[in-house]
Amino acid sequence: MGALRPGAATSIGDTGNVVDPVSESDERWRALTELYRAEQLGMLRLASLLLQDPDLAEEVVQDAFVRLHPKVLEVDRPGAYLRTAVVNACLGQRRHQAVQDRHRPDGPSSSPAPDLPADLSPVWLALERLPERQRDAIVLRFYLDLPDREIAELLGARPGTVASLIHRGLKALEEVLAP
Amino acid sequence: MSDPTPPDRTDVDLDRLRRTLRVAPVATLEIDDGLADLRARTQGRGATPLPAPPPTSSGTDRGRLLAVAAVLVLVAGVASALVLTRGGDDDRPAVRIEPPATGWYIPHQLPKGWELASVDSDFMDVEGFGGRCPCVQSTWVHPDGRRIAVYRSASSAKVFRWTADASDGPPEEVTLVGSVKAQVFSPIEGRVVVGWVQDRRRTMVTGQGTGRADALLAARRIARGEVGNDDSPLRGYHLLDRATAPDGVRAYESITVTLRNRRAGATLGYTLTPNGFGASVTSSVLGDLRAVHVPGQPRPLLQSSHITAYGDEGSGVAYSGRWPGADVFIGDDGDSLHMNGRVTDREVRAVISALRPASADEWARFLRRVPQVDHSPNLAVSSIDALNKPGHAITPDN
Repeated sequence: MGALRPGAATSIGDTGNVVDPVSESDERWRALTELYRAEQLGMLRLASLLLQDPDLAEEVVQDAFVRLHPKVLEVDRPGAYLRTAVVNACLGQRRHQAVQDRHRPDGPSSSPAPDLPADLSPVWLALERLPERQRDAIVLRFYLDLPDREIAELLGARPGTVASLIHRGLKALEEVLAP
Repeated sequence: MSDPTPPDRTDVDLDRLRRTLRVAPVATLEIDDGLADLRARTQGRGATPLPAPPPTSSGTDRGRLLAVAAVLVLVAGVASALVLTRGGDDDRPAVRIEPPATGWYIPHQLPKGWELASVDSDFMDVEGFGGRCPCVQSTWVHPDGRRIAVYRSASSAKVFRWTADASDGPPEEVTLVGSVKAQVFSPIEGRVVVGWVQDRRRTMVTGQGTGRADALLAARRIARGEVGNDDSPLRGYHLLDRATAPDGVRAYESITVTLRNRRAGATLGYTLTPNGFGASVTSSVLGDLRAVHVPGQPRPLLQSSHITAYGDEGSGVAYSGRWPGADVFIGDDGDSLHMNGRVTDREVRAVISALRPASADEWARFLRRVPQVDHSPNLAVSSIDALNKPGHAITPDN
């Protein structure tokens, strides 16, 4: 997923031409800007779904772009690469958050529920009650439409486990999502 | 343990679930353009990165962390302001601050006699056109009006196939470099198209008024790597337009808002597509193509005459713009899709002048005022969601 293309960064130099560090820096910034314009909103929404915390989502996404910057010209599929980075960062931040919450005297913090249309609000509340792993799998399947194999890679699980997580998540949602 | 039951075989309303997942972040997020902050941070200034997992057991709570981050972001803002005010003596690319964009645009007033008629959504199959994004189209123009458009996309195919109805028989095959062969054809008088696949990239060079020799010369220079993405493949041409469509998109929805003038028996539509996907129009123009400013709009638009697909219809004028969040097209598309009956250029410009960016809420309220709306779920949130429609946007890596 989003693998680096070996040698891509030096391909100009390999032809014998001198690489101009200034223009390469400009090109890198230009590439990052284009990617930012195209992907920022989608990544923010994904991070917001996974973290359920808009402020932290914004930080995670911004941080992912900063980390991508030095290698943006070398990454084969920057959009996919970014998506993986954001999902990984979200899961990492949530683990970090879980530990911090254990040390919080007043217990875990929570963000206010979004102001949703009447038919969607119960679905969101039901999603919030799902165990995190099930909710992650549901988001990655039904928001990003990823196949089991990719969800498994992102969650660090086997594809069979992902299928099970999604199945159990949907079962739990049946009450509010029954047609 | 894995569950033997296929996970998606369920009685739940999956459309409702998908809609919830698409609407919820829109309802909670307040999107800022963080480009200036990003610029500062990539130059080593501004906020420090988030603490990297794995977790620590320190007593730092998140409120304090966010407070520190807020201060650092404030510092980044000051640094960014400096970047912005350094102006002409700084040769770095200028940082532009733009408002968050949903990609929706609605007319805040209509020319006399015009009213809202309908909003429609059309499924556009990127792969069906033989490409696979990321896609970039650059259009270069000579002072005498000759143009060359270079469209590049990823490709899963090994050879280039022209999908249009080539009435003049099969295209000619030429060698560009080594084993790289291209197809050359002239779908309409004055236009030469050279298409090929090389290193899993599909490239189409469309010369308008250039003649066959120059179109082939441009193709050969590109195939041999003699010109970079930012360079014109022909000398004496300057860049008129560049559009980039993002990675991993197989299909998207384009949204057309149609206005009508009952008395004149005319209709006029404007189409919004996710950024980068309104690009192909520039290679379909037979007449003039130039950048113009329309009063009321801060950004220039491309004014074109005589757009044609595969026929000789469409002698009228059209405008296309690359606006925040969406590409917009309005005018005579040569196919009667956007304009029917007598519509003056003044009326078209009046509609363009009246278009304003809209929030998701404003767009939803706007739809309630339109008599006939294609109730596609893509109309619910934003044009970005039209792009991100589950099942369309994200492709498995392979």
